[in-house]
Amino acid sequence: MKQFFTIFKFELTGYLKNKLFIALTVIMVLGIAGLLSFPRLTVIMKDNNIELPSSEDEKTKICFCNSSELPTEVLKQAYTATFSEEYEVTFKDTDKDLEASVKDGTFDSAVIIETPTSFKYVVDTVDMYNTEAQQVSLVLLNVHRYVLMSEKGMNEEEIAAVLDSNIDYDTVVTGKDQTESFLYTYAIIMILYMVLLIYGQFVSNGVAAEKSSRAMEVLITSAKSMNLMFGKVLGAGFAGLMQLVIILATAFGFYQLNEEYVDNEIISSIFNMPGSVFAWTVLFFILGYFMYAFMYGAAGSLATRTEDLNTLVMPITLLYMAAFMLCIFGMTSGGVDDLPFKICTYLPTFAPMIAFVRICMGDIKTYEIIISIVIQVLSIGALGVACAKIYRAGVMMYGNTPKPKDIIKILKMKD
Amino acid sequence: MLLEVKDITKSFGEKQVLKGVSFSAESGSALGLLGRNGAGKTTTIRIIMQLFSPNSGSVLIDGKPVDLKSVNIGYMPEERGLYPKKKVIEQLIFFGELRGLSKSEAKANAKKLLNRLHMEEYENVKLSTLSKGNQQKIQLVATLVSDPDIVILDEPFSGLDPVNAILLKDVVRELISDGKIVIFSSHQMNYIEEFCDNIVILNEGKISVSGNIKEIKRSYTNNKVAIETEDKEEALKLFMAENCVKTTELTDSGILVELVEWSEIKDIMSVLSDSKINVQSVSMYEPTLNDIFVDYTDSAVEEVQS
Repeated sequence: MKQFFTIFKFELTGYLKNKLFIALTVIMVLGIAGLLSFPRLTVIMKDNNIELPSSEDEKTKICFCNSSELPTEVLKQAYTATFSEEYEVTFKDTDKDLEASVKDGTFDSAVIIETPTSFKYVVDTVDMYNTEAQQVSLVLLNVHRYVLMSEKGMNEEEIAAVLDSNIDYDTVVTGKDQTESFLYTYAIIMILYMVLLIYGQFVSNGVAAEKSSRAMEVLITSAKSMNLMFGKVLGAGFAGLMQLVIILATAFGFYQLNEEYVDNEIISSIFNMPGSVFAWTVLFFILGYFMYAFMYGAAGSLATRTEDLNTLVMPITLLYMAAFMLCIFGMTSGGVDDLPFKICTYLPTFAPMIAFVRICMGDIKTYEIIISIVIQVLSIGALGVACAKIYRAGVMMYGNTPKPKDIIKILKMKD
Repeated sequence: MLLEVKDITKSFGEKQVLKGVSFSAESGSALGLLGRNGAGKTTTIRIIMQLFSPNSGSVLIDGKPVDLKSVNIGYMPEERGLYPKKKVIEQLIFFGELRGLSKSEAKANAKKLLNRLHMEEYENVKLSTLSKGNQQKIQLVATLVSDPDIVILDEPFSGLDPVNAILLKDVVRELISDGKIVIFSSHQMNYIEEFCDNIVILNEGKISVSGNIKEIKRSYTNNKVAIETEDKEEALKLFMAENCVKTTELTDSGILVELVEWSEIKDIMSVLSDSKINVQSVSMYEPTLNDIFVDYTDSAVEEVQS
């Protein structure tokens, strides 16, 4: 046990003194702090009358052209009412050269109304959040309805009453509200994915470096391979956990400080996650980390040169990516409680991520969580022993990169 | 303390690396473990260190199976390597602690050994900044930092300049007089002859010869007579025709004559006295360890000849 702690301490201080590790942590902390303080800084700058580049004089230019039988006057009125606040609205009688003037930048976009129910939308580049076409179509629909209704002899007020009518509804969520949990689950899965991958690679690189510098010869004759493996994995894991906690704490701290200035719903919904999610994050980080770090360590021990490492690590990374992709797929499709996900809750290499996603977004039963965690803990124990065995044999194997059958042979060996 | 290796065998897959190896070593003495590349030296050492367990046979200390908790073994591998990016003292303390020392003990031992090897000024530098010879000295400190009862040194002299080699020789002598068991694995026979009372020559997983060096030399009957003379060619011609002579060869200072029977030395003497050759001396040829090594690892000879 003393030996284990010696190795653990040596590895941990190794990470904490590592310049890359420190730089990575500092950069992430500064980045998060900066991002979350940004809205507040903008407000402060405004208060101090510091001129910020304003978008007032840079209105987007939109051009309308009517070639349908709808009355142009009504269209003009309707579109000016909707767009004039944010847009510089122009009306043209002909659609001649309209596409060219969008291309050369005279207008940012152009709308040619072809029939009462169809129009052509001309734009140079469309960004993700462009809703112009929807707005145009909504206005056109109203104009079309307005014209139809006035033809039927309805007066303005009646028409307005019909067009303005709204339907109210309330949603009662009996299970999990996926719209609310989606963002923070997504954010955490991303962070987990990154941190686990980085630390898994740290472990395999560390082992491979020891082997290629031949420090291994002395290590393996000075300490038990089980202690070496667990010491290394736990040392790196603890460093990773510390980093994760520092990053999350910074994020929450700065969010608290700047809460009133942050009016972004996406960010708010991430930080308003339930506290239990935090606890689950730490638990599944630990489980997922061990699951993969042992495999990464064993892979590192099999590499003779650091160049071989990539090939050896690839299957593990692919396995891990598969779990990640499945999570994202399940989250976006909303089917996290479908059968494939239920099965994956019990598959050791998938479970850490899938179980977490199902807890956050799905309708997982308590007994499912318990079984999943028990399976994970048991397989981590088995993996730890198997990987220590591969490690012990692997570190003394030089030369060719071992094939899967060689690895099976190692596992079958008695010692 | 008595270290006994008893009839160990070890196979890796199809290949049998050790085919029944036995030897013993006692406190306050050095044992030379010799053999060509691939003869099984490193495997034998790793079995002593319990990295591998033998297929059969055992390793005993004072008649009991080795318990690494109570017996401290320091091993300096042939492939040197420590942490290149870490400070010297940090890793020395780490290795000391790994082998059961407290931090302060490890630090004190490391400092003492660094002083002994005139390396104290490099205590706080990164290992990779040191020269090869100095790195090797750090490796020796890492081996000895836990004050081991058994010290196994694999090619300890390779890469050392003559001054450092003398320093290392002194350290090894101190180890032996401190009552440690020192096991030497080397190809440099002169160092083996200097320190080791006993040797074991391994060849293809078997022991070709083992025992006290002097006795081995004495019993190594090669029936060779060294004749020191300036008329080498004349002497060579003279003996080539003799029936009692098996082989002849030229040396730097004269010729070497191998007899069929040692008793025929009388004939040689009479032939010499009858001839006009000017002879400085006639002596029994004393084999060097190198001769014995090459002779016993006979496949080496075959390989060189073919």
